[in-house]
Amino acid sequence: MPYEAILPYLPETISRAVAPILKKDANIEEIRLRTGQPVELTGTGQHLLQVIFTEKERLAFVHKLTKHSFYRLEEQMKKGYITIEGGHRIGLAGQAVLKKGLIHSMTNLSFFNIRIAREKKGIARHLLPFLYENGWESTLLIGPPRSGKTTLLRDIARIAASGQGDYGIPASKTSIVDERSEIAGCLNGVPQLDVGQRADVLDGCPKSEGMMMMIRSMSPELLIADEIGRTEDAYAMSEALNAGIAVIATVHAHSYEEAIRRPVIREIKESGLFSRYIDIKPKHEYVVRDLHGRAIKSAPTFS
Amino acid sequence: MKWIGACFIIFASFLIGMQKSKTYMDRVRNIRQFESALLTMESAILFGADSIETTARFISETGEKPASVFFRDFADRLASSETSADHIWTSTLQQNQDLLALKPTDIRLLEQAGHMLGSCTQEAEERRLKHVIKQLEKRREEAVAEEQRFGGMVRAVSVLSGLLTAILLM
Repeated sequence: MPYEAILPYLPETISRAVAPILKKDANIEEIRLRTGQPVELTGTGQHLLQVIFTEKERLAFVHKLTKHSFYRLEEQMKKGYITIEGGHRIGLAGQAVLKKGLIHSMTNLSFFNIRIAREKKGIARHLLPFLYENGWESTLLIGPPRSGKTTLLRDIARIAASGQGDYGIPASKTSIVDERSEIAGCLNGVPQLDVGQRADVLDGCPKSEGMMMMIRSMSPELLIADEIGRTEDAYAMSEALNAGIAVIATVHAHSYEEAIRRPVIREIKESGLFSRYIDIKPKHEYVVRDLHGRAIKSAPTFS
Repeated sequence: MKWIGACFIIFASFLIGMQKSKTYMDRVRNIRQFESALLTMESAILFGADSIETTARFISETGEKPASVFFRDFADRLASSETSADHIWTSTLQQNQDLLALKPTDIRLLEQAGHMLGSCTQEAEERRLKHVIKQLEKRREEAVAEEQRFGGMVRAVSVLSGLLTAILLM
């Protein structure tokens, strides 16, 4: 069960209350703990449990989470989350400590959002004819938050790095730049989620620098990155694409039209770096577009 | 018979003297052990790679007794307890106090090393440990001076007092 790594971190009363619900409802995506408030589970619906997350439990939870060593997670905490075994991410909120106007650290952690990492193997299969034609097509996946961009990207990475015989896709050297530990869910540098046999993961590194590093050091055939959007990202991607490396990345937007309104994405589109754009619609519906943004066809729905 | 008794008294006083002077030596050794353990902890924190529990276990495996016993106990409690490392450090120190030849002031200084341990930033952890290591260095110099000054004297006084007692009893 994907959630099992989370349970030992939870206070016993909460763990006991949450475990049967997680077992029954596979759509639960988040466990939200707020000090002094009832525990909340969110997914397709919302479950407000009768169990209160107490101050004592908060302290014990923080000690377990940090393994009594706050300093080890300082860098991760600055980003607002930490990753635990199984690739699950725990979002944190409390009191930010600023130094010269920048977030230096976080203290009095009181709010936690445990995002359950679930792999959906095979989710990208139906898109393979559009993504692979004698080689990987450089593709931009476009979708709003929680539309499943990263899950789709992870499955593409897994297929690329392990190969898919029935589609005639060989295993390729795949480099993943996982700035927020969301794709591979690395813990101590080891992917906790299946990203394929020939995947190399650079965890926690800013995308643009990470992409350049991977190009230089790992000679990838395919480069995977999540949530691009900065000018530096566009530069790194053009470096990769001009070096003959295919890039598959995601971008945060509700539609293709909205995405290309962003200057960086418009520039990328105009330079013709990507040959495919995939609009991710609700309920796993996809609209595949070509180099010019014309819809090729709507790909079958994955369920 | 009288001579045997006299020899016994002198030997017993010699042993008492040795034991007393050993306390001075042990204090120096204990301070040195904690100094080196805290240096190890400081570098572990600096590189941020290992948790306090892992570091404490490493110290317990590589260090000398009695500090190694303290660190093993500390690591075991960290693994099983949900309270703060700060609290576990202090209670472990108090529980292992009898094993150590340290003065109450030394113990208080070591308690400072555990204050907020594991719950503050790398910078703060480092600063605190550095401060305690510096203080321990001073304590060690004092302890060495004390040992040199009193160690030999205690041994000599013990033997002489044994001799005096034996003469008086004869």
